[in-house]
Amino acid sequence: MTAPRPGTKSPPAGRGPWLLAWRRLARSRTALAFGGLFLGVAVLCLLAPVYAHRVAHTGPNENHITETIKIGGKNEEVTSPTGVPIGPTWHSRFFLGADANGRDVAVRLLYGGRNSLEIGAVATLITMLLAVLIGTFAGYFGGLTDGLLSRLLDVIWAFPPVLLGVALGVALAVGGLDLGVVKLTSGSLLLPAFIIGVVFVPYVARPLRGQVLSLRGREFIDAARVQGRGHLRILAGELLPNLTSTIVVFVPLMLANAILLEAGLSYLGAGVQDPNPSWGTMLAEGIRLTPGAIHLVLAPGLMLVIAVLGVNVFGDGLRDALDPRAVHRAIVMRSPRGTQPPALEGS
Amino acid sequence: MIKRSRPLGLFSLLALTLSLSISACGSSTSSSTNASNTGVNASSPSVTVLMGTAPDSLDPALGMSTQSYEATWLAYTGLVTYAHASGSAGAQLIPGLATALPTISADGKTYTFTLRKGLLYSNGQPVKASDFAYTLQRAIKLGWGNKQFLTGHIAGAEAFDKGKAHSISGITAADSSGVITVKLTAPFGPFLNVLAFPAAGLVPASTPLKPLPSEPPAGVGPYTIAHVVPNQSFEMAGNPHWASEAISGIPSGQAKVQIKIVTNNQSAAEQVLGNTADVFDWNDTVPGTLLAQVHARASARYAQEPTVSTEFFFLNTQAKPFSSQLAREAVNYALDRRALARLDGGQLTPACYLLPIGMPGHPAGPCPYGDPSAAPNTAKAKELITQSGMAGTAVDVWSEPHPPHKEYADYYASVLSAIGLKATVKIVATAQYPGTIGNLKGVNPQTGWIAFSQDFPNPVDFYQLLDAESIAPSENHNLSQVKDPHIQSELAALAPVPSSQLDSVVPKWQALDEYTAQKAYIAVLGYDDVPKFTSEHINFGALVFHPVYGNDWSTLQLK
Repeated sequence: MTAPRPGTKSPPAGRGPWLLAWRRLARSRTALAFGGLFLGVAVLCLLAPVYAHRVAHTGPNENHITETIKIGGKNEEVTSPTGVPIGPTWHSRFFLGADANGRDVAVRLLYGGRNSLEIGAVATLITMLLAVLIGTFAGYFGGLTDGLLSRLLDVIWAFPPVLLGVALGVALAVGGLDLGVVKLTSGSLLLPAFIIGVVFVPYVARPLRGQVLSLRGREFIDAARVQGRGHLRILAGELLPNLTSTIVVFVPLMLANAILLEAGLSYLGAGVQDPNPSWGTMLAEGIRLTPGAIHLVLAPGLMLVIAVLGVNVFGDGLRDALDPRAVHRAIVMRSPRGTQPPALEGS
Repeated sequence: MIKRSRPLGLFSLLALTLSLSISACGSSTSSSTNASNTGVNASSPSVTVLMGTAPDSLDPALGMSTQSYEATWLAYTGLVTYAHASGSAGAQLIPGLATALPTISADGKTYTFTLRKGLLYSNGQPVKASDFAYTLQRAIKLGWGNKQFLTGHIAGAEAFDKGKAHSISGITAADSSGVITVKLTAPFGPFLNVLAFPAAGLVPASTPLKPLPSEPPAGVGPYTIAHVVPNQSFEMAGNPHWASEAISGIPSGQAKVQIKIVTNNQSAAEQVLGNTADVFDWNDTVPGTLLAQVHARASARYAQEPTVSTEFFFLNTQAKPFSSQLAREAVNYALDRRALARLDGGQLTPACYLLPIGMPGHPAGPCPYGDPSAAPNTAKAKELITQSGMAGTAVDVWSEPHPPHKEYADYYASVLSAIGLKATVKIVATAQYPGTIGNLKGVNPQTGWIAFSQDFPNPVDFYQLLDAESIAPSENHNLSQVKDPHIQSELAALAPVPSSQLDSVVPKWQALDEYTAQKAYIAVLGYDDVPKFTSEHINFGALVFHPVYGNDWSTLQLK
């Protein structure tokens, strides 16, 4: 071995795919802006207790139906004798108004957002865990294992997610879920999270299975087998790393879907149970007083749109960053015949 | 009845939202506004009524919701029925298919009727005296929710119900003479009221012994129920055989009635306000956000009618924490009934007694736990919970999603939590609610919302709710599971008093109701006012608001 000659440059250090992805994501200002928007909403919601105790001085479930508050030196009733709640005061108390029960909408909005986001996050976690397990096992082992797992996915896939979610939510709303080891009471936030998590499993497991099917015949898998590695080591050490970018791309997509489905189920009474707030339950409560008390649907509706839009646009950016070929393909499709698309960094 | 779609009589849980939208067919109305016994026919104008909740069943042998009774009492006339009048006059019984009110034996146990001659069912079949026995047997066998009024009082009815007899031995009927005799096991004051239920409205003996909710059986009345689309709509068409047999005191009707189920009370109220539908569901609440508009634009066709009904939270005396009287008293001290009234759009009169205003026996004295229209005594309530040793006990509050009942539950749970209990809310779909909370084996609810409208104008009806004999493993009516010897002995003494003689025992009923309030077996919210609200096409003044059945469609007139 000869040492490099003095004065000659060493070859540039290689850039890992994650660094390249981060660079591409950093260039997508739209994605980052919407990601920041979602993050802002999430932080606000996590600060709900602080707002409730330090600013609004009321909890999310405290009723103030017959109380009055002073606004601009005038006493205003929180709800009128005919049950019409006060609108936004733009003051610390009832900043966004009250609902029919005289509860502070702003406080419930933040607590509701916390519940919605927590359920969305847990549901996404459940979806991804189950989908990765089922997808990789089905794709890697094939045969009977694949047949059984794929039919299981088919059964879940046969039902529209909302329909299945409502059916499960209603069925479990009163008695909760008792799986022996795991018990979820009817009011638990984990119950809708579990339902939503299960409902979406096929939507992730199927593509993952397909990807594993294409990977399992590749040389590096054969090489691992020849080296005597066990199935679990091949799955964890060879296949999973190659699935990571797909999994990461699915996360925001599933999170957005989970938040939306949670809102839908809660709207229909099959998700978060009263008196716990969620954006869906708030919409359901507000709709009957619309248009007279439009703030009751505008506030949770806007938060829902912002959160879902934020995570969706960020997810798009993330996908483009992790799967540059998608951009490449799109550019090729848009390019006039015979022109070359620009070279991709790192390609 | 617990209101859901309020059944008369027994439990009609919750309020319903029915709105009838009478699509004001603008057809000529002049011919239809004249009276009387010409009856409704194919050329009659049509009126649209909106219902917020679909009837539980349009088969008279099964229906027991207010929505069901509102329709079936006009299609299934019994031997006796109620006068078609507003206020207390509407609570008077009049002969229906019988020639006169019955003769009652001196011991109060035997009732003898004579059937009118020449009556025909809506399908043209002749009405026979023996159909009466079949009608009651069918109601019992199909499981009518109020069948205990029959099986508990008619001789042989219980044996028939249990399959020990092929017929009800206490009923005899002679088709040739039309004489019908009913023997009771013991005198029962409101028995004639029981026979006025639509379930006792005669149907042909050839009617299948199976539920017929979509194709209700033939009956006798000014209307017949047709074109039933479950949970969507049905029609009250004219009975072609009614005009020839019109019975004094029962209007023949002047318009066909199209009933549409509109569950959104906001939408229903807007339709009636905008004259695209004709009658709003009296079981429903006009949203507070629309009331100002209603008063401004439709004050001549909107009124709040008092009803003989009570809304309350039952308190299960057989389970913690409400097995403790102190805990029950705490709830009564802590409830802010002014808040509950606001949740009901201002249509609830705060109160504390089970027997509502308008029911004989309603106490006039002050409430034992403070003025129900004043601020609650939360401090006292907390103290009582501490004394009871029930602090921290978990409580499930049951209700159904129809507004404002879910809002009641949310409010109630917040109150329970504020006084030291750990409350959670359980909301069950409206259709399943009565069955769920009446299921002692599976659910055995601790507390929850219920509304009860009179099935008939006798306090015995309300006291089913606290009668130990009403406790049943399923379809339980005594949701507080009260087993109080004093109440039982008083009911035994008061139940035999005929409805016509209630005045003589009013002080005793008042004393019993005050006793009940003292024991805090329930936490009464108040008494309902309901909206009588029509389009401008309807002659508002002519529409009778019946004290038992609500809007009397047989009195609907187009202007």
